[in-house]
Amino acid sequence: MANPVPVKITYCSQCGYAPQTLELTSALMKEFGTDIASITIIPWHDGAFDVRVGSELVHAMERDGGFPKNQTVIDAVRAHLQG
Amino acid sequence: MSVNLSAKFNEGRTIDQVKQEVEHEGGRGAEMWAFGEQSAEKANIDFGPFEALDKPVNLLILSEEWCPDCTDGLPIVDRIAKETGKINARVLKRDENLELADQFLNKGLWRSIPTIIVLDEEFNAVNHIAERPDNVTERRTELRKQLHAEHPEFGGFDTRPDELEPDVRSARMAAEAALKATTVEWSVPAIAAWIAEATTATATK
Repeated sequence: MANPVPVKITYCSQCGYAPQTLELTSALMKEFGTDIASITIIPWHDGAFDVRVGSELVHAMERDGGFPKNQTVIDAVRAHLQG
Repeated sequence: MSVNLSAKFNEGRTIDQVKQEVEHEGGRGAEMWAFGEQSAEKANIDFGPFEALDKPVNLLILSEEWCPDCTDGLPIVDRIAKETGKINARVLKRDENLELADQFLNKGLWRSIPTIIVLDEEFNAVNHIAERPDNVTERRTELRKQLHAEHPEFGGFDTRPDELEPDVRSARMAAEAALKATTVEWSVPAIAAWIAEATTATATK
């Protein structure tokens, strides 16, 4: 069995991105259960919405624009688990 | 189908009403509003372009009370309106008006706020701007790069927050927030000039 992978979500708390953060967190918990080592939620500022899976920055709002689709992050986690 | 902008304008709140709601709610939003209002009051704004207008211009603004660029921008619009009498502003919540937001995307991509839609006398949209002027973003970025050069303990400008230890992250966020607060002397006049350019470029003089 693959090692569980950690996920970090950095979100701009001033920007009202809490709902998107919690929705993504919920989707990951539902999809992977204990296959995720941890989900760390980091409140930040400056319009951030970053998602890191393991060491890979899967999404950064300033780099990629907008929010990631939940499925994009789910696919990244699955790739890490199978890798 | 496009949204009826006249109806939306009439549906909007005045900036005074937004202020009352924010102050009633209290908390972080009220603190941000107070800071924006004080900054707008102290700033050396050029009212000339607005005073040169023959008639008041209607501005429909998409905003949210938790957004720092909105609590910076709305008090600036309010001061211009009260000093010159040449702006009629109405404010709608972006998240309750996504169809409208999608008609006026920032750079054709993003539902940025505030989005300021300039309307003609028949309530047709003639211009729109969003978030903040590029020159303000660029100048703040340069200052942040200087801050990081002076504080290598923050891990460097391109280091993501999640790569830092929590205590370093907190110190960096506080330093960046304090730095932004020092920019209001020039950023408020720059934002006012940006609004003037968007408003007066298309209005009847």
